[in-house]
Amino acid sequence: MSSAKKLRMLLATALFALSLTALPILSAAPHVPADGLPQATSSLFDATKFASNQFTQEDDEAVATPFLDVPAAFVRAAADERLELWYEPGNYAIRVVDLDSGYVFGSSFADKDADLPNFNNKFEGIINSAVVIEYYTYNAETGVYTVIEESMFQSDLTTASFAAVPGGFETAIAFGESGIGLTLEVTLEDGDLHLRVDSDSITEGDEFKLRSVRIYPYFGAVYGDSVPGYALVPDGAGALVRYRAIDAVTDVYQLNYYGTDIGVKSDVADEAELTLPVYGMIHGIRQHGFLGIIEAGAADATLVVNPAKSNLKYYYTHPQFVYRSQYAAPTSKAAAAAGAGTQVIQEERNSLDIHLVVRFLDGDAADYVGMANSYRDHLIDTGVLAPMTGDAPAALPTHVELVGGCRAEGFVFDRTAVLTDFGQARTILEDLTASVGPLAVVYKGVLAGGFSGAGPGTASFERALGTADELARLAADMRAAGSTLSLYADPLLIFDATPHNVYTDISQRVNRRLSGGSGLTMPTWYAEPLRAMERLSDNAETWSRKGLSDLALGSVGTALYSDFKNGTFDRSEAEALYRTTLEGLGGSLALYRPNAYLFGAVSRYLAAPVVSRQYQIYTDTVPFLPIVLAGTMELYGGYLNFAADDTLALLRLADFGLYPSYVLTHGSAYLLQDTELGALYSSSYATWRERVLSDHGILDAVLLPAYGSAVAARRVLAPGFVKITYANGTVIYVNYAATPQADGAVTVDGHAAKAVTTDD
Amino acid sequence: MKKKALVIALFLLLVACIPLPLAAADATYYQDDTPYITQTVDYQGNLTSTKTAYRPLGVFSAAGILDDPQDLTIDDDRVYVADAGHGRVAVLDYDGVLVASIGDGVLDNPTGLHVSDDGFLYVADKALQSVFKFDLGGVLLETYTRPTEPLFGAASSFIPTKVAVGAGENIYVIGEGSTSGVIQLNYDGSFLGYFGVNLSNKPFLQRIADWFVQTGEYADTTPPSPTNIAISSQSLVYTATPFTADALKKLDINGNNILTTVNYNDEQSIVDLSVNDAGYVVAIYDDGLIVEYDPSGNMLFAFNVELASAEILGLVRVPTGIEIDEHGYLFVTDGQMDRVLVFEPTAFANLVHAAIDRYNEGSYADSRALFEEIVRQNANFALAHSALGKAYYQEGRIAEALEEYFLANDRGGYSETYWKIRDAWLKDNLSTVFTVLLVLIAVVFALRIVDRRTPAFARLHEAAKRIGGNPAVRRFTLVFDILRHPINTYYEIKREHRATVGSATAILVVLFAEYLLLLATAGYLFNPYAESINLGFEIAKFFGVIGLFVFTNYLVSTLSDGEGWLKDIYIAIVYALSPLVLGLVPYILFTNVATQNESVLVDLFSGVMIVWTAILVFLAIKEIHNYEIGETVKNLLMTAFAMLILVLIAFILYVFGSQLADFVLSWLKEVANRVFG
Repeated sequence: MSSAKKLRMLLATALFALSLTALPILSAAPHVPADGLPQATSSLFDATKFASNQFTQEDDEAVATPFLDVPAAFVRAAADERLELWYEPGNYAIRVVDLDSGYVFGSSFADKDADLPNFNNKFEGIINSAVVIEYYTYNAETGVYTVIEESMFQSDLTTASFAAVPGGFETAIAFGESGIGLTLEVTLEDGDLHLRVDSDSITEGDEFKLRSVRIYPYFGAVYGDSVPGYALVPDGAGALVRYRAIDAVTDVYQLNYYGTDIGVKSDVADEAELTLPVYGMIHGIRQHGFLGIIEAGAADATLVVNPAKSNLKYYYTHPQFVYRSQYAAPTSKAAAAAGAGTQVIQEERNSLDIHLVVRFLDGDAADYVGMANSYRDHLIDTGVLAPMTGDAPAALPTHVELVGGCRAEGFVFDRTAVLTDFGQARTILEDLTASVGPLAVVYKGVLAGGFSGAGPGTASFERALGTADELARLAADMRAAGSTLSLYADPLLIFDATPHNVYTDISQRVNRRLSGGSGLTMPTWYAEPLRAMERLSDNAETWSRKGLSDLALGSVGTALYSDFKNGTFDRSEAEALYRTTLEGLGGSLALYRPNAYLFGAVSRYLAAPVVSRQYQIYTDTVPFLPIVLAGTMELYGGYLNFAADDTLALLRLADFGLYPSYVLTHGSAYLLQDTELGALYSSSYATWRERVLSDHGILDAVLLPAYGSAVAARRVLAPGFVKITYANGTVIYVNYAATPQADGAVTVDGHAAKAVTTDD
Repeated sequence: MKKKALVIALFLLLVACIPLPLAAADATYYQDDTPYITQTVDYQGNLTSTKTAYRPLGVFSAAGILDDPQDLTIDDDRVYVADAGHGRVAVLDYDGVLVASIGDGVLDNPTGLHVSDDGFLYVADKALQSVFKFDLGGVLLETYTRPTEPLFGAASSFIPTKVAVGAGENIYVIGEGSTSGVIQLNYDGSFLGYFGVNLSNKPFLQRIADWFVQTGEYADTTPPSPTNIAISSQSLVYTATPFTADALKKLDINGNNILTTVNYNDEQSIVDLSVNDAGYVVAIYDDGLIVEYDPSGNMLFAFNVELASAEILGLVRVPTGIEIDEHGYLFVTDGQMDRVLVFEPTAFANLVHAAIDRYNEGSYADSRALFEEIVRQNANFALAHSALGKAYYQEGRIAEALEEYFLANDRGGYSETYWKIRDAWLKDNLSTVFTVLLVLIAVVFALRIVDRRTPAFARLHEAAKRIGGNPAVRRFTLVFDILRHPINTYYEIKREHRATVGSATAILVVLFAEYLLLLATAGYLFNPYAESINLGFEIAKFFGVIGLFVFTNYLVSTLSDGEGWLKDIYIAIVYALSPLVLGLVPYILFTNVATQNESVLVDLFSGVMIVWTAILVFLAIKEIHNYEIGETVKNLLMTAFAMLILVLIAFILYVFGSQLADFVLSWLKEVANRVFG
């Protein structure tokens, strides 16, 4: 104590007049020591870092030698000015010839790999089959369902008919072993290959039930690294699997489009985020390639990605469409907890029609940027997306998420912890608009009870924050200033502590258990979709009448699940329901990482991913998703509050064309401890203001010139040094490395980004 | 002190029960883009989200170099890997290129290695049961085998798995199956003794069980053995002992632990640990959890790099070794994927390290700005709040210090700061307080004189007497009387029926209100309760315990000639709680002004209330049932026993009931699935 007193005497001169609480809101930037704050470490391992799949690799631009031709047995089914479609009578293997380059993509292999020990007849059949199905057999004694794969070559009893249709052919296949039948249609339309299987054409016997269907699974397969190039995986921002002789990875990856159906399977971990229903392969970078778009059926599709490995040295990728899942029907609480129980299969088949569109790319368009633009064009052609119109704003827009209130535990009763009331929100937003320009504001936790306290039906506002009029005036004033204030609501996620009806509000899993998960402090449930969407429409109307028509919706962008409460409401049906409901809402809509089927309803894309799941099979991370959406809507990155390396986070935004995002509150995030927003640990505006301003200054200079433009090209010039060319002529350089890098006359400092605009 | 121990014990229990929290569905957007969530310690000692501390850079060793790497050490930007599958030590440079291979043909299954300050490589080979000493050029200099000294123990085996070498070429060897501690060898291989012996940590119940068994039947008392070792540049030895509360130990020269750490993962085994020059300790558990402690033993970061399903960059299948190098990078060996991964400290981790370094150097003022920045970036970082409290305190910014200590839940610092504030207040106001007190005393004195000499207050006295004599009021003033004349008062209650069930219930309700007040408003320093309560549960607990006691006592007493009826017992017991009824409010007030310096007084206060109540309960039972002292003791013991039995029966009924219900339900469901499904 006495030594402490002495020290106190020594340091008494350092006494500051201001106390923390008395600090004015706008000037609380902490004092920075003379030598600055510590930064990210040296560039000791930059080589390792840039070679990892967190970054895009340099391209091997070697010429791809064609390895397929059209065998004599094949018959030409259709042709247009770009492509020729050939098929092999009897088994309906196909060849697609690019008339410009003469390059041939095919679904079967002329020569098989001699050194494959497992390359038996069954396997060869699967590789060469036009359609491969899986079906369930049931062993009544053991009570176990087994999945069996059947190709068209499996049984002598298999038949496949032929009928010519405009632009191609149609074949009705009856599988001899399982007795399952379906009709495949293969056509050329407007220079694209279309593949269709209608749900109505599927027939099953009593004994064997259909599990899955794959169409031309080995189309475009590449033997090891015989051809330079890569496969595209639309995971997160986008990932590439470059071809190598033999990959160290031995797994076949099966990734669910739109995530796992939590209505069927509940234990999901480390899952890839496939929000775009596409796949594709490149044969020779900027030479040949194709992009597959799942036009229908993506809700029940898995992406199969196979790397070359010692027992099968082919890279291939295709979607697999799942009609029935297997699950454990628990017979007791303990069994339910352990995921055990009687094994059963889904009774009703998922009602999906398969429609694949395969678009062929050549020349400079045959890379991931070309794939992204091809998909972008397709979405524009089909009316889902539209290029942005109007003038670019005066400054780069910033996304601000304000937190109003959050349910917190009180001494006896729950209370609402108030973080930012409507008056404080006005102060913050007016100050920010004046300093950084237009804002895309999402106001979270303003419904009665606050975040995680508002029930599924709540439409009224939390009184502790202010009046509805106050909020509406704020929204109107923001609109007048060129910004948007969107009301946050989550139509699908129901927090356990909120007022709700267990019997009517919550969705049921296939095993009759409630669909839900776990929040930080309480269980969470998934809403029954029909009722949830009805409520959303009603609430949106109520809010709209009060002048709050712009919405930001949680969960609904990503959560897609079957509901078995009243019969089966499968993912395809949910997808359609969400799309129509959201497109029918009045105002603008912001969604968090929405799946592609909602793109038509979205005005602002929030929390865009900058990485993928980083599976070891991936060799690169690429901004595939941002390029698809570039120039069609504003894309905002993840919240910079939580980035551990500010420099890296800002460079990624500059590289991917994403705009900055922050979570801001008036009160300290400390108040949110032990609440559902406990993961939000830094948000106080007083301490974040300086950062918002300085980040904005950096990004505004780089990204504003490219506002509203599509991406024309993106190249890695050297490890960690990227050049992005926009369609409007703007070139952005991003240098992740510590040392300066140069491209011709342009030099970019270490850890910096730079925009170069050309006049044309 | 006892209270503190209790709080710590409760806290540890809590931590043991709470698994690492899952992220809420909505919170995923509040995370950095690493494949794992990084956590730090919050004000309650629980793990809470924070910014990423270490970012995976990638696979550092090229494919095919390593086979079953078991350990690694770094010296002068050279990475030495115990390449067990190849029976050698692989030496890699910082580009991951194999630059040398040591011990080919000599080593068989190297599992541990260390480069000493003198520049020699020591390798523990499990298969050859030896420790080898090489120079860094790869020349074998020495082979150490099983010590021959009798002190080593005739039955002790020498199967070295890990090795570390301190100053003066003190060689520390971890031996498989060696339970006596770390084997310490001299540079010439002679046995110096066992070091850092762990104590047997048999559970309490096991010790009780031991009383009832005969010699030879004792349960295994072998103390847990350290499984890994690291040595700091100051030659301090750190050991890892899995499954214990203080799994990480920093041993002084005598082998005593001088570091207190909290083990957040005591269900899992620590695989390896490493300490860098600045004294930061990192450790990896077999479930992939990596933890970092600061030089004082505070947990800084925890993140789990376990590979669950698919292979993901930065995740590890079977962690075998961890090393932190002088630049702050982490290296982790994966025994199954045959590779070394590198993790880079982020700007945030560097900030935390810089702040702690300056704080530990004693530059509180310098560290303050850094801790303020940490708190800006993570408002829940308890360690930073605590350090800020200290810094502000040193600078005389007492009010801010108090706030920071409160945010950190640092009761020691809070108490010290609060003492200072109270001290200042007393200094400023003591004269006023004394003046007021003196004036009050004088007034009272004067009034008494007036009362004695004149009839001025006679009517007041009369009124007081009249009100006091009113039976309705008398029922409540018994609460005061019982403190002074318990036996007489119980006589009044029993024979004269001065108290009623209504009055007793009213008193009980008041006591419950006071109890709630205690939970809500007792001084922060003396209030280890949760900030929120379940009202229903508290009601059930409070009234349940009293009700159960009264009821059971009635049952027991009817069998043992007790005179009291249920009603009498109820009333008597409630009145026996009078010391609590009268004492709780002053107690609450006292806890609000006391600091930890006065904790003895606070404990004394609560002790007196409780003992007094206990005595009154005893007297109540004795008087109500008209028992002798011996009978009363017997009655109370039987009551306690009967209460236990009742609770047990209720518990058993509950368990069997729910089991039965579950069984019937599952049977019905299975029928439904099989027959109608």
